[in-house]
Amino acid sequence: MTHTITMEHIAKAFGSNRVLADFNLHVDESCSLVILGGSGSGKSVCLKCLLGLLEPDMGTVSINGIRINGMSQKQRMRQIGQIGMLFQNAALFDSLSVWRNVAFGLIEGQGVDPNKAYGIALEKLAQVGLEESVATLLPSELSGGMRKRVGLARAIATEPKILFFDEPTTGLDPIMGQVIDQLIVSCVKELGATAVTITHDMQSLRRIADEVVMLCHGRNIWQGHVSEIDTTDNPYVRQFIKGSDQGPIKMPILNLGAKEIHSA
Amino acid sequence: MLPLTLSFTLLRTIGGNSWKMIEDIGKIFRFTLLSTLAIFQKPFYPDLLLHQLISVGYYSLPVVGLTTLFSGMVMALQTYSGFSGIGAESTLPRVVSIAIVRELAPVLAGLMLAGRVGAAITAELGTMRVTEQIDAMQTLCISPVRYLIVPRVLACTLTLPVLVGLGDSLGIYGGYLIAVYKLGLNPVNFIDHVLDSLQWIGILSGLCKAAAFGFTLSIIGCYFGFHSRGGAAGVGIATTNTVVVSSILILTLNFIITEIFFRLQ
Repeated sequence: MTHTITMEHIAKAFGSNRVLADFNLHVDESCSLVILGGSGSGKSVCLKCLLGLLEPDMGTVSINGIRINGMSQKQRMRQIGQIGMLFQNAALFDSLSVWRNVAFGLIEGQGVDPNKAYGIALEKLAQVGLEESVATLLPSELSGGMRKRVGLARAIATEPKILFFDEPTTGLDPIMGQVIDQLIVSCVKELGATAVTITHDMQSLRRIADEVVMLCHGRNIWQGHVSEIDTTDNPYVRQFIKGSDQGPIKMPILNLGAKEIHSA
Repeated sequence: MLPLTLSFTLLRTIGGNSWKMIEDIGKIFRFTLLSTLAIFQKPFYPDLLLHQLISVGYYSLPVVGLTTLFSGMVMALQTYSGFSGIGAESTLPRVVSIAIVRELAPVLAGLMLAGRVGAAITAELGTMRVTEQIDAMQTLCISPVRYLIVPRVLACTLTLPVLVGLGDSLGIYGGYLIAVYKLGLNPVNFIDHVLDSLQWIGILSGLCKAAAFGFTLSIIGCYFGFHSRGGAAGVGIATTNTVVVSSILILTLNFIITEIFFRLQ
């Protein structure tokens, strides 16, 4: 089974706030695609539409050519297999130990025997560089970087062929950010998975991306290979890379009476 | 011109709020229906149900026990002071037992659990929602309704009648302590009168109320927790809403169930 991801003419609004408008995306199998964009550009909503946590108002989301809009998570799993997801703040279950978190999908979702699942959990924890002693700790006893690693171990525990990462390096120091990026790259390669990452961290993007999509005001305004990002003349991409307030991307600053900072 | 604008603004506000209330009621009904259907759907989580039974039932025993014990004592004192003036002290055991079994134990236990358990359910689920733990569960193909809501709803619905049964005994015992040791009533007479006054329909009405209150407070707790938005402040608002809405619904349901059993008598 191939694992290509396609989003066509996706629109999503919350009341009068239009977040995605005629958004299109195509991710080839085994490709690591990074969606780049500023805060409020619609990256998270796009990812939630892919995960089925939000239903788009218009358009289709397809994986391997199968339209998955409106499917339940169970139907989706039957049709396209398991999906792995690393949330921005790891979203570990507070009341469960680390190994139970990692093995959660195996035990509760796939009915794997807890003893066997424990072994798999330790294996996955080792894969993300965590020792066996961490397995019995609670998430509240972990540092931010360790939480991300446990979140990554949980995402890959069921050996999914599709992986999503929501701002994986946000809130981490640069060294830990690099460690997480390397782990993501190695896990994605090892599984041969198709990966979609959303981020606004340029260093992280250069480490993990094969393809890049730039999202602005709910639209895909640029797509290309990661090597092209420094040479493109797209003004949105250039402004974003430079981190400049001069350019077509306008940031509303509410404490200035909703004026926009730009001088294009 | 100004009064006309104000009138329109007022009408629009009232209309908007009314529409939102109707929408919310519809959402709660839909949530209740989905949660009820999920009770009968696989997979079942007996270990989670057991955990909730202990958390809701066992740990609520002191709260419900003390509330009903002191309510029984107060009821005995108030009945005596009110009825002794007309020479009707002998009705004290009857009044205490009927009041405790039919009204005070189920209503007070329901209200106490709305505060203790309903608020805790909302805070827990609300925190899980705003920290994306519920989203994570969905991406792992686990139904949050079956995993999180069903055990809580079942635990509350099953344990509240048991708690009320114990509360009935403690409330009557509280009345007994006051009647016998403070007011000097004959203990044998007290017990005889209590046994005479207790009818199966009265006990049944109290237990039915308890089950209905348990179901209601857990559904409301889960609904507001499950739909929490906006971080810690949102969870706080959801928790307050749970206590307020559950308490109002418990008192409303109390009247409806009392009316039904009143017709049956």
